[in-house]
Amino acid sequence: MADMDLENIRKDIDCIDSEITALFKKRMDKTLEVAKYKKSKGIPVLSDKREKDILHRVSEEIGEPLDGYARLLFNTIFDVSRSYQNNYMAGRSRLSALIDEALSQTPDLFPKKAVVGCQGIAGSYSQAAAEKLFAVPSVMYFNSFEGVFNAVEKGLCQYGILPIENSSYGSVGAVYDLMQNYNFYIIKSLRLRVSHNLMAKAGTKLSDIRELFSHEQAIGQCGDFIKELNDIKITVCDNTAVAAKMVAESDRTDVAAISSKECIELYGLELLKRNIQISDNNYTRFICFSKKLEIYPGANKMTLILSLPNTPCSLYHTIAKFAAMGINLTKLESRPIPGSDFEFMFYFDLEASVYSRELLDLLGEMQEGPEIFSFLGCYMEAI
Amino acid sequence: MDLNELRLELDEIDAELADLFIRRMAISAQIAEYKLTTGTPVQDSTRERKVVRRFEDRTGELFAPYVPYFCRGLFDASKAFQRDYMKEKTEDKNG
Repeated sequence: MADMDLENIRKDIDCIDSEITALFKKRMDKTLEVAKYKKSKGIPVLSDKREKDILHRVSEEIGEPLDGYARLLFNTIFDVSRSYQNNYMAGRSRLSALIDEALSQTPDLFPKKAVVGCQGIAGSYSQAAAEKLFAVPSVMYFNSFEGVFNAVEKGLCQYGILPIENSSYGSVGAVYDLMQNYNFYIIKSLRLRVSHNLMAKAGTKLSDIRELFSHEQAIGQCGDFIKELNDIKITVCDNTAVAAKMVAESDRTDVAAISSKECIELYGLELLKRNIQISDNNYTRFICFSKKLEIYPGANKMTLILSLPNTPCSLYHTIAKFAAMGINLTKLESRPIPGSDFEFMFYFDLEASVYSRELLDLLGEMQEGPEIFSFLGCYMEAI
Repeated sequence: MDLNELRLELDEIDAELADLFIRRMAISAQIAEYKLTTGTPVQDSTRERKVVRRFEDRTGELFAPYVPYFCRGLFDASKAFQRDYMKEKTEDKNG
C-alpha cells in the first residue's frame, strides 16, 4: 500500500470530477429553466419540500454509511442552484443599490469636526473615543444608550459613539440591539486601550471601602481585583464617569469608584490603585454610527447580524460561503434572540470590501431570504 | 416543458451525481488508506486549489463564480469521510 502512487489514485478522482463538472453544468442550466418557469407562473423560487424530497431519495439511493456525506454535498448543490437562480432573476440587489448610493455620496475625507452623542458624562471612555475619532468633536452627553440613538435620529447629533465590544468581557448586546432597531450604520470604529483605576475621595484608604461604584462591564473587567476585597457592596452605574462623580458628591468616606484616570482630576478624587483590570491588554471597541450609510475610502471591515434556520449545518453553509470567497471572519458570536425559545442571532465581522461584486450578490441574497439579516456598515477601524 | 418534466430531468441528473459520488468516495477511501499508512495529513490545500481551477476551467465563465462553494461542499464531504474512515481503521487496529 505504501508504494501506491497518490498521483495515480488522484487521476481516477480527476476523471470522476470531469463527469461531475458536466453534470454540475447541466444541473445549473436545468435549475435556471425551473426558475424561469416559476417566474412566468408567479411561483416563488424557494421550494423546501422539493429539496427535502431530493435529499430523502438521494440518501436512500446512497445508503449507509455514505448518506450523511452525500447530504452535505447535496445541500451545497441546493445553495449553489438557488444562488444562481436568484442572481439571474434579481439583477442588482437592494443592498447593492444602497451601497452604490452611499459610495457616490460619501465625501473622500472623514470629517474633522462633528457634533457627536456619547453616553454618560465628561470623563467617560466614550469621550476619549470621540477625541480619537474626530480632530474637533463637540460632545453631547446622554443618560442612556437609547438617548444617544434618539439624538442621532432627531438630527440633534450627526453621529453617535458607543462601546460595542470589550476584549475581556465580550459584546455590548444592547448596542447591537439598538443598531438593529434604529437601522443605523457603523461608519468608523476604534480600538481603545482601556485601563481601569480605583479612586476615592482624599483620605479614604483601600481598607475603608464598603461600597464600590462602576459600570457593569468595568466591574466584570476588574473581577479578579474585586474578589480580593472582602465584604463590599457593588453598585452598578450607567457609566464609569457617573460612578466617579457619585463618589465625589457623596458624604460618605467608605465609597470608591472604578473609572478612567481622567476622572481623578475632573472630579477631584485620589488614585487608590492603578490598572486593576484583569488583563493589561484590555481593549474596548467603540463604534461611530450615523443614520445614513456612509462608506469612506479604505473601508475594509463589515459587520452583519444574521439569524439562521434551526436546521443541521445552517451555520456551516453560511460560513462555507464566506470561506469559498476567501473572506476572513474576524468575529463570530451568537446570542439568543430576545423573547425567543433559544433561537440564535449571529454577529459577524468580516474583512471585506464593498467592491467585491460576488460578496454583494451573496449578501443581497441573504437579505432577500426569510431570516433576519442586518447589514451594519462597511468601515475602517482606527487604533 | 412543464415543471414535472423539468423535475424528472433533474432527478436523473441527481441520480447520476449520486452514482459518481459513491465512486468518488470509494477512491477517497483508497486515498485515506494511503494517507493512513504514510502518515500524510488529510488536508491538502494545494491539491484543493488545483481541483477548483480544473472545475472552473471546465465550467466556463458563467458558472465559475459558483465553483469554489460547490467544491468546498465536495471537499468537506470527502475529508469528513476520510477522517471517519481513518479513525475507524485505527480503532480496529487498537481494539
